[in-house]
Amino acid sequence: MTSSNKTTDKTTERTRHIIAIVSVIVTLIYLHWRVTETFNPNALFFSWALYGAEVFGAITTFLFYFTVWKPLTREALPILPNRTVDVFIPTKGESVHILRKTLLACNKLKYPHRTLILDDGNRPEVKALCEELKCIYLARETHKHAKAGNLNFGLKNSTAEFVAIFDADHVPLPNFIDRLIGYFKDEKVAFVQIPQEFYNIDSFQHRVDSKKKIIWGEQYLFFSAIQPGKDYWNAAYFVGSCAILRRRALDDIGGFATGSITEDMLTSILLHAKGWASVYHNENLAYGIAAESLKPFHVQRQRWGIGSWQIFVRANPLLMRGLTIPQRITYFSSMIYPLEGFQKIIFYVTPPIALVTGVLPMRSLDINYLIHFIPYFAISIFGFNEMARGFGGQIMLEQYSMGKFVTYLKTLGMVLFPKKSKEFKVTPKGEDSSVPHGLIVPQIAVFLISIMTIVWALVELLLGMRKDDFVVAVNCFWAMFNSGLALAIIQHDYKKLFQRRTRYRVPDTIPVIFKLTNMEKPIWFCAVADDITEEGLSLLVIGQVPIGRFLEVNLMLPTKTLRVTGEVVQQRSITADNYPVSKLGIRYEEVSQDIKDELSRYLHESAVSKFMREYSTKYRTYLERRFMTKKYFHERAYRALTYFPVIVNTDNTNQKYAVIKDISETGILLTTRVLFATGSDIDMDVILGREKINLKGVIVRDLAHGTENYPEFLLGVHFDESSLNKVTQLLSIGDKIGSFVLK
Amino acid sequence: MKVGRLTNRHFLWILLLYSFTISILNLDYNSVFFDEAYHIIIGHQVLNGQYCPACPYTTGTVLIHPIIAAIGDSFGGLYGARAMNIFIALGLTVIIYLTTLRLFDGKYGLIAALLFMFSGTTLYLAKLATYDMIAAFFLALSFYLILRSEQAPSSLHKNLWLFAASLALFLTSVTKYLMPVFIPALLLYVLWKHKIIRTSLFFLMPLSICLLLYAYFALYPAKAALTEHVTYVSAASRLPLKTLSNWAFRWIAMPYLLAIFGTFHREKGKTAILLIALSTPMLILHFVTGAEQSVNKNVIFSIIFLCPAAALGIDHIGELFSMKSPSPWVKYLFSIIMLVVIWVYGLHDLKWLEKQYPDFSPVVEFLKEKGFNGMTVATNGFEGVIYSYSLDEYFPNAEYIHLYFINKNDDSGRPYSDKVDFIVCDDRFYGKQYPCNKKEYYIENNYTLLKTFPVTLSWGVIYPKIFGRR
Repeated sequence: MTSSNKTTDKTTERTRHIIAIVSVIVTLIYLHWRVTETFNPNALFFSWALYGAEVFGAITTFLFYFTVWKPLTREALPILPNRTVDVFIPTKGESVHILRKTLLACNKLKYPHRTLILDDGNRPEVKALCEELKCIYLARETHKHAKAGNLNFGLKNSTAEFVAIFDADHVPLPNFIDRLIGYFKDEKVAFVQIPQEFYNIDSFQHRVDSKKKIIWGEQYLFFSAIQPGKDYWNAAYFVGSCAILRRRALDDIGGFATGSITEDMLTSILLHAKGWASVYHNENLAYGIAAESLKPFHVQRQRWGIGSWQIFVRANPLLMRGLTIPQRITYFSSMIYPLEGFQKIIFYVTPPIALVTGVLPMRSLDINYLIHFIPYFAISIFGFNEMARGFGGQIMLEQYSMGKFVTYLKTLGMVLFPKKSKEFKVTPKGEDSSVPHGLIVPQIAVFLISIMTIVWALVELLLGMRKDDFVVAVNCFWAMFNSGLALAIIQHDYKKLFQRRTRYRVPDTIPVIFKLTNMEKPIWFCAVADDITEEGLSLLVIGQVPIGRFLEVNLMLPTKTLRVTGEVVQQRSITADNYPVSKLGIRYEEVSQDIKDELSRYLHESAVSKFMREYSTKYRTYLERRFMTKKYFHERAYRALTYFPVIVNTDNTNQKYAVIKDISETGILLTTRVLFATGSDIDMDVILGREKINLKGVIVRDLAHGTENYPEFLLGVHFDESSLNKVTQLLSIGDKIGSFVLK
Repeated sequence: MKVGRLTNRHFLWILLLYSFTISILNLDYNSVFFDEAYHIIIGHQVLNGQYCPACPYTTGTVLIHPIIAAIGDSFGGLYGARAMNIFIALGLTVIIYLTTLRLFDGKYGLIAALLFMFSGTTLYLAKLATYDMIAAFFLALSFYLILRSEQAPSSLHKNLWLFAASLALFLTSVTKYLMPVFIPALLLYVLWKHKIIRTSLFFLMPLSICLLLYAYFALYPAKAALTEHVTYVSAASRLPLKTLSNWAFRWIAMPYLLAIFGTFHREKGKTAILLIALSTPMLILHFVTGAEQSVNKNVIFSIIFLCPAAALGIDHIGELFSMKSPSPWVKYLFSIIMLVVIWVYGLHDLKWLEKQYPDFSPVVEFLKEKGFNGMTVATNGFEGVIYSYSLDEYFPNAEYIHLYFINKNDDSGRPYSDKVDFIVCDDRFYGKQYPCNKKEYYIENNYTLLKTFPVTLSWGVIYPKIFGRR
């Protein structure tokens, strides 16, 4: 999700627009044919229900095409000096552990600012934390209007020209304000919003393909396609966190809007209606914690759903004065999505009804129907994927729709019976990984009913009790698809049950030396820490260390070495070409707060950014593959992803530890903390337990990989002739280690 | 694929056992089909050295299958003749497994074998004593041998396998005279995979020589038989393209759709496209000629190529429905559900196919009861071959003629009108055979209706009638 990657060109965009127009025309023809020729006179309600679901799908697709017609890509503007900025961190029940990380990062923001904690929980421990970290603690006596009221309370205690807002779990990078403040040179700009990115990519809303290095996130479509698309129409909206707002603009609308539990969207509507402009800057400058399981996901989506309904009723963008037509359309598009719950439930119950009763929501399901349906369906999928610019992932989106359809249905009930809906529920962050069995019941029901009705219909067919074999085949296929969606979401949530650690570990490649404690003659070994947190780390070791042993570990961070002691609490092993390879789970014991803070700073400022840069959040669409491969995407030869500790043989002892990240037949990718310039020779020893394999080569590429405070470099090394014969064995071992680690 | 100690081969054996059991237990699903009767009778004539000039005109060929059917008939009657095809079908399943093993791997091989044996067409043809199954066997064998030659380690082996493939292709061609329609596609494939010299010397030349020798020395002239057959078929059974495609795809829609899914397979999709292309010659022939006859049987020649591609499709659908689940069992679950659906559809199709032709057992039983040795029976289709075969044991001197000849004389000059004791009107094939109403006036004046037999078929009910002389 960075603005620097060019991912589109004119030909691709033009073709996308043509496809979108064709998709709209084909959809209209299909819907006309459906309503005029296909309704089942004996099941009119059923026919209208399915047709209604299809029409809703068509409307949301058309609105989506309009919204993302021309996504805006912006480059950051020069810093505006000498402005006053207050950073607001509203909090209610988030743990001190989470808040501490955010405050540490806020203190490191380079632009002059004040940091204010707005604690609606009135907790002494948060106050103590603020005192320790030299932040301003504010707590109000009443808690009216939830988060919006809390932010307005912050405004009353602030005189700054700009306020930056972060949720309690959002950790900003040091250059957050520097990158965004320049946009306020334009006096009409009310706020600048950036994407909400998350570092816990094992969360409920993320899917990771470690081998292809691709991350899919449920919100990427919104933050990478929809928000830039809305930005083009001056309709990007504030999402409650990771934004800077102009104080004068907020004063113009009487502070943060309080008419909805989604105060952010309502505030944006009011600002736009008053003629203010918005900016969406698509660059990751802060990382938060995504909803970790179905339960917080449900709470969050329920709040958003209720908020949308509230705004629809109280500040309907279609009727509000001052908004432009595109703003009305895109806000309307962002508001009707909870109706998706009705659409999905119709799609889920249609095949079981047809399989059990034989009643169809259309006159006949035959080849003629498919001749009309398949082109419409194919062009819709194709059009959506292209217009989503590679952030769609339709199958994944369908899974999450399965996960939240009941949540959306409930929101309507909660708005109609508003006792419960007034409550502002904070999304549980960080420590809640419980499995909400009750919330999964609808998905289990969809799965079981789909499978049972398939069996029912097949048995009837087998016994010759029904002749509509084509109808059964089509509905079996549809029911199977639905059951696949349901099973995927159930399985994705239940995997949390088997996850032992409670904190997310950030993948990294840190060179490490370690020794067993309580040894008379300690021997130091080289290893690689391949993921890390403030509570523990995972160590990749050539050799074996039993569970229960204590290790002293020196973590070679780019700027300093941290010494920690920990217990081996988990061990997995393989044998790679006669070398025993172990992955050790280590839990620190008695680590000082300073070391924890240092680790926290490193993880959020450097490790997370590096990791997100290495992974792509975007799939290449068909048109991009067709038109843009040669221009923008570089195909690489096969490389085994692996981790080998390396000692680079130089005179400077501080420079010697490095890690091989991938290996091919001709070269390696090496991560070091010191820059070796392109063209220079390199001599290194790959450490395999107690063995060393010496390799020599020349640097063919060097890239800055870390951050200003934590410099690291990626070096492409091409082997010389003498090393080539040693590579085959390393490649084989590396391949096995890579598969083992990425398993 | 391994599940516990069970490997693909164990699963294949289980599949073969299942297929054998399901086929052998229900061999009497219907009375003898007229093609079966022709084949068995002709096979006996060939084995007994009797010259049968009309044989090729009625069966399309007289070589391999009629002899096999006659041998089977000698041991077990109609059941014996039908049982021979079960063994051929099992052999063909193994070839499909081995072919897919060569193209992809054992997992796909097993799925392809399952798909083949779960197909209603396969199950039906496995117990229908006609030449389709053995023609399919030689065609599949030829393709398998071509693949072996492609992957052989040395030139000598390549040449030998290619030569063997050409012989198998020759055998399929002389088993059923429509099969040479596959020669161009396979020749192109061989040319693509081998040098032109090797293709010419070890594939095209042996095949051409064998076909020429056969054409020259065959006891019954192939060309005349083929021409006669094609002329008859095109005159009798031309259908609009839409109807024809509906009939054809009814039996191969499932493997075809799965094969199309197979083309989306990330690594092996291109091979699926190739297999779909190889499966099309017979369909093209039907679509171009508009000939409906035997299309439900001829699709087996497409199925043998589609099954390996469809196995990829199953895998791809399993992957699609498992929604990239980290657990392989989710993918297995959906693949298995797909296979169950296909299995049920196979059995459903089988039930339809078994009753697509009328069961004339009640008519045969009636004639057994009321008929006599030396009787003459006129029928309005296929020279009464069904009754000739079914009643030969009881009335060896009975004569069966076509109703068309009832106004004509026999070889001794005696009018058939004096001889015919029974007339059987059994309008088959949706009434397109010689209809009895052409002789309605004659029958009404000279014969009396003895009995009407309502016979239920998959597509409706027909009412064969039997008339006796007044």
